[in-house]
Amino acid sequence: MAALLGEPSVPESPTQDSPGPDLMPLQVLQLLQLCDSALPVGGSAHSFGLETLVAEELLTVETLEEFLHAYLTEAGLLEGVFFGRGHRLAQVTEPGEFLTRWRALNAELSALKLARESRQASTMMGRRLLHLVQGWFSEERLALAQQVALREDGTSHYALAAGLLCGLLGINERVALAAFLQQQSAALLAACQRLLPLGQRRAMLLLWQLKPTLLAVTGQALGYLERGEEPWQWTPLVELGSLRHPHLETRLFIS
Amino acid sequence: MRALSAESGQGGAGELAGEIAAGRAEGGREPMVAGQAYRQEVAGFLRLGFGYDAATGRTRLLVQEQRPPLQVVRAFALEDGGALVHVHNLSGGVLGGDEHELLIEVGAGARAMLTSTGATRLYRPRADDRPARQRWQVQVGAGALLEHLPDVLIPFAGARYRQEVTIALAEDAGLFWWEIVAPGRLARGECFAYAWLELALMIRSTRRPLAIERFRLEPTARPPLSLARLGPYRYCASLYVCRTGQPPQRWADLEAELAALAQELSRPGCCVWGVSRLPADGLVVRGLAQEGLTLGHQLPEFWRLARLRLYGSAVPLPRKIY
Repeated sequence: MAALLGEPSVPESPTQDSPGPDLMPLQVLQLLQLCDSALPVGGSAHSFGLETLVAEELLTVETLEEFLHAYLTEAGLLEGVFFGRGHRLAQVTEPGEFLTRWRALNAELSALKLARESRQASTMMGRRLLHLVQGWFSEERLALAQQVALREDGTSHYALAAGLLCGLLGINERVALAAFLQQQSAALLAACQRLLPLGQRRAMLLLWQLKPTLLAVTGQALGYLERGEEPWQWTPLVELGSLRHPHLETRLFIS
Repeated sequence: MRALSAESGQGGAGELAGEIAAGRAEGGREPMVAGQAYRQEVAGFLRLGFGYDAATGRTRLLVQEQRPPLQVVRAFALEDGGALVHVHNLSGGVLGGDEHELLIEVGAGARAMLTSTGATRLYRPRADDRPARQRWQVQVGAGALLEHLPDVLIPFAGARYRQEVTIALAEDAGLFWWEIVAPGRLARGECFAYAWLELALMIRSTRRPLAIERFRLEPTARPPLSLARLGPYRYCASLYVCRTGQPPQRWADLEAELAALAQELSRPGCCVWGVSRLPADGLVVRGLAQEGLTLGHQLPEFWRLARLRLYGSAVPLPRKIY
């Protein structure tokens, strides 16, 4: 695993050292579609607080690479762990237990996301994802999650919904988690391309260079899941960016 | 048990007893091993109950158990009938290996304000000291209010410290809970020289978790001045404002009002404030600043305004601080 400059190296889950994904071609295609940056779930409408950091001239093209590494290590880890919890929820077959745990996980993630705009962005994207896949395939637990998202209070976070879908499709957890984190990174970079003088070539290079970080965070998230530990996250400046975003004079993004 | 008031309060904290034992077991912490190091490790313990006395309309304090270095001397009456208590740490700070536990129960209808006697100093531990820990278990009863307004937390060089706070709010229970974290003993040239801090907090109502924080600040491995963390700032503060059962629109209105104050006080590069509604029953105020004095002076403004809106009155801050 590539060492990250200035970031902690947490050992990966010992049980996951040999990924052996054994993805079927159909699963590869399904994962590509679910993690496509063009998936219409509204991701391109959110900057998750980055717009404020750019407006205050803190986040620049020059500082972007370091920022993304650190951000993924903190926020990416939290999202990754909850993606994994969603994925593992696919192993719960009893509908009542599934529903109870689904609601509890969503409530916990809501409480962890203190910035309202970012919390709402996450639930909006989760709801849209669950709505989008209606008719793609039929599964009782998916129907229950859709019922919560679309007919009840709508609290269905994107990381949990994406993880659940991948779990129900039987897509290897490590591969799905890495792909999910790459999708999140690509979305952040796409937001930065609209906020900063960041060209396609530079953005794609950054995304390419982030891969060791993505794999490191994937391994860390799996480690937390295996050990049953809660992940730590500390991104106060980004959170402040989200809290202060509604007060920007000009806003390209919803969050 | 030592009663500090003439009468014990209603709704005493007796029911906490079982939870204390359960909590200790549940916490899964290793048993204390004393005598192996030069300095014996210390386990402070404080169990406080606050009860509302309907006859006088005042809140009374009952100290049910206290073990040094944690100690409470007396309660001061507040204008609104509440009780103000200073939590003393007779050691002057938290030393390596210390394990402190505080159990606070605010009974139905009671109003309690807790503060510290000064900054919470997290001293440099000896190399073989275990990490210091402090654990709060708090219950706020129906119609009760708890305000926790301590001074700043200052981690000295090399400090290793874990703080766990669990707060349970009953129906119509209120909470003001703030925390200010300094980068270290700046006057001595220590800035982010501590080893690590773990700050975990959970606030929940009878229905759902309202707010969860799980922060790990580890300057060597996770550079605090990264833009993903503090960026150009050094101090951070948070204030949780909760009152269960209030309608969502009330929180929306209060969020707007506090956000306007946040905008007014913010000076990017110097100090920034933000406000957000929680998933239910409350909101959080966050602040980052270059200088601790700025945060310390401005944070109470949010508290005063929120208290005025939610409880119709503002009381003075404990005089020793400001």
